Amino acid sequence: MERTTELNAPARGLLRARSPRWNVWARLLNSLPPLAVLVVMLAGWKAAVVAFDVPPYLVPPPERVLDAFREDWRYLLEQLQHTAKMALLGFGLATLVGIAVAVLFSQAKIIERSLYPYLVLLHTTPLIAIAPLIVIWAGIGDRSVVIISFLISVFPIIVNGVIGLTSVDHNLVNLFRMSNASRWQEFLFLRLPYSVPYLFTGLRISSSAAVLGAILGEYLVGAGGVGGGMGYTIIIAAGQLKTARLFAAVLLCSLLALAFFFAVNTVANRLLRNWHESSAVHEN
Amino acid sequence: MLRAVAQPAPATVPAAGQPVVDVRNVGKVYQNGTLALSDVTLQLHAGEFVTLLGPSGCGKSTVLRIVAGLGKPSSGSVAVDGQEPEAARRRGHEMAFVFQDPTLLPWLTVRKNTELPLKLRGVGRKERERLASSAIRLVGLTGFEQAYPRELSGGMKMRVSIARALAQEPKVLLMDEPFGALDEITRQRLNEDLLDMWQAAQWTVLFVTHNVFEAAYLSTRIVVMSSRPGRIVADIPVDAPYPRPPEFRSSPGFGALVSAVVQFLRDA
Repeated sequence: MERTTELNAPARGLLRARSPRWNVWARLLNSLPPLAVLVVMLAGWKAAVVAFDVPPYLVPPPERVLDAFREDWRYLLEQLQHTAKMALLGFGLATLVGIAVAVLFSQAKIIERSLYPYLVLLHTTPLIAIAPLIVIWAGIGDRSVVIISFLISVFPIIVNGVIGLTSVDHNLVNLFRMSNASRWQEFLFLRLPYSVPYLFTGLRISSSAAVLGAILGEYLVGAGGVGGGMGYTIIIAAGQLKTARLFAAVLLCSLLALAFFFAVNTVANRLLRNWHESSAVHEN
Repeated sequence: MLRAVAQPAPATVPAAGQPVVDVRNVGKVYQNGTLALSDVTLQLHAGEFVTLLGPSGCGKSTVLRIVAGLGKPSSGSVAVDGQEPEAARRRGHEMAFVFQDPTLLPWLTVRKNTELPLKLRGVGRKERERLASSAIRLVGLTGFEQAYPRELSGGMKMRVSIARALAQEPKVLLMDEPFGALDEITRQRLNEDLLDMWQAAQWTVLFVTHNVFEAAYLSTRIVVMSSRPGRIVADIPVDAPYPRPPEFRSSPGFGALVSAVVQFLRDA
């Protein structure tokens, strides 16, 4: 009856796990090249500042930036925390609203066609131009900052979400129809999981955009004083020509955006590693 | 067992001799004006293994989709078990479709993929597991239940696709060039396994292919189609008894059958 021979070996062999120790070494080894580049860049920076005798208010040497960290770390971290909170709220809101809008758009072509142009218009209008309006409406404070962060990060989620939800393989849809699946089943068991990799493409872009939006918001809301965030810290430092502090702030902003991106990436890899090429480990 | 779940339809129980699949004078014109099918008439009786053979683009897949109720004919009528295809599908486990590609959900394991149609139809978990296990065993994938599609070879994916169809205990099995993308050796082996399973389960099979050898090896009947517009040009019964061993492919009778069929395809 069963003429199959080669197929009866257990599947476990296909899923060979790598030893954790090997993994740690591989990671260390992998991080060596970028670290080397960092060292070279720092050395070049220092050398250039010394060689061309650049005044520190234009370009501070690396150790002055480090000093700025050391002197102000408590203040800087406080501001960073504020920015992180704003960005997280903006990003969270963008994720919820973005998915909801994408689902709505994917329900009917007519909805997508009638609303999409306005969405694009909203996105292409320079945020910096409408930001003052947002501040007038939402007030000088955190609310405006979150809204700006949200507005800048919601678009990629919607666009990628809609693509994912509507680009399901036609025969998979036919398979569901053959099984008399309801619309709801088709959405829950087919369209939604199918769209996850696309959604994460949007979320990756949005994660760093949300940080950018939060900083921009703080920048504009500005005079909040206490808890003004990194955006506020940056304009003040620039105004006072405290360039070392400005450098420190910029570096922290980058790290924050990086952390956001990394967090999203980690979740994506967790969710997708078993089935999507973008997160798969190959053993050719 | 599963038939009991389906709602009874006493008025439409087929009388002996009534075809399970009844395609009458079906024509199909696509929206862009292309005439895809013209006057296709085809009857399948219980337990038959019929292949629709024809060149690419002759509309054989269109016939299959119309029988499945995935597309509507422009003219003529289709009945499965005496009902419109869609109604037959809704009634229970009448039809299963095996697509050209494995059409698996990449985020589900082999087991979950096999269970999917049952889950969608609301079959309970225990029953689902039982049917899936037996289908997976039948296609020779025991031990691979927890593997994901991307870990499998093309032939194995196709086996999962077949297991998914078998788990539904269909009366009619519709197969759309299921082995077209596989290498010759794998295809032959799957052909042999498919015949074994068909003999055990006695489905009525409508199998679409453009491969003459495959058609000759598998079928009780070969229906040859020509293209533009697709119509039936020959209906050739295959007398060879089952089980058909692999050696059947090198017998004189097989060679004669193949040349006869090829002649029809040339003349069409």
